[in-house]
Amino acid sequence: MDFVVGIGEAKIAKSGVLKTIGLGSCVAIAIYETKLKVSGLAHAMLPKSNGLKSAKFVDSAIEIMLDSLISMGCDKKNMVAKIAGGAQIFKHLTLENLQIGERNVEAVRTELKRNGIRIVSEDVGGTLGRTVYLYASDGRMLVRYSNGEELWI
Amino acid sequence: MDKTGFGSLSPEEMDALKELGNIGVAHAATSLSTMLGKVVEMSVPNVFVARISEIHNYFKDELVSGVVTALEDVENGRSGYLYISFPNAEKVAKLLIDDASLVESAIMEVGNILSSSFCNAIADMLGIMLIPSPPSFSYEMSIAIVEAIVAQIAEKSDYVIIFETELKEKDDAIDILVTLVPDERFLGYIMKMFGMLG
Repeated sequence: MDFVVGIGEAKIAKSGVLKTIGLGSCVAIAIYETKLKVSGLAHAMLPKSNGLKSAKFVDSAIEIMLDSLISMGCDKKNMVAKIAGGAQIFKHLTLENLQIGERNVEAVRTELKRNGIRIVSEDVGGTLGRTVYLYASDGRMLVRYSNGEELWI
Repeated sequence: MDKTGFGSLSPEEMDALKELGNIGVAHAATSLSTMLGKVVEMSVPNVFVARISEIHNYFKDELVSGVVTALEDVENGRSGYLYISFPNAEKVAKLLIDDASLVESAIMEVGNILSSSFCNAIADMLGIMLIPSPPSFSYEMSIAIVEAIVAQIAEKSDYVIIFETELKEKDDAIDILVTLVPDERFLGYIMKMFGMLG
């Protein structure tokens, strides 16, 4: 069973595959709870919330996933994270200001650290779009680049 | 939360939006015909207003050629982006310049003409002055492009408008997607136009 996580969404699953398509400067944040074997995946677009609690923002996305996971009986101590995305899609700086990709990745690191969750593997930066598949029951994550190349992280 | 009301447009408003697209591409077709010295027609059979979280339902998960233009509103600065994608870029190159090997230059040329005439036409309709930036070529998944654009406009944009466009030259037809990513102010201009429908 595939669950598509849209831009600015976060989803939790115990089985099947959580999938998010077309990550450009956005970042996919995967959290896996090793004991209960539950996964969460978010597709966040901007580093910091303006007060609105939405998975569009890295800080809120992590908070939303943690709330759901903890309410299911998960423990932060057993959680690990994987991240992918944060590319610089446009070559011309006239179109892309402020290097959102990099700032998104930085925000993920800060927020996860604050919550004591370790990043066990990552694939960030570059200039290519990515699609991410997260196998919910064991936390394996496949990154497929827009040029067709694949990478397990 | 949908403060703009853009998530629930009436059939009349959707028609007006389609008309906006039709006028935009008709102007583009005129410019294109002049440049090519042959008659090219363009129309918008369908228009979609898509929530950002659902755009994966509108674009294929594959590499596609396109151009991105930033739209500057003379009075208020950056107010949106236009992304024109060509799922059949080789066909465009072949049809328009009879050389399928020059895809990037063909798409840049066509994209430049399309975006500037489309932009002028809709600015006229909306009663504003829009200046398009020079287009940037992209060969990437459409979703990644749209998402990177939306991130530029930041938190104030929940919708994109997709004009499904058909370009015809004699018996040949080519599909083009014209995607408008408006910021909140730009959406306001469109809502104002709806207000004039009476």
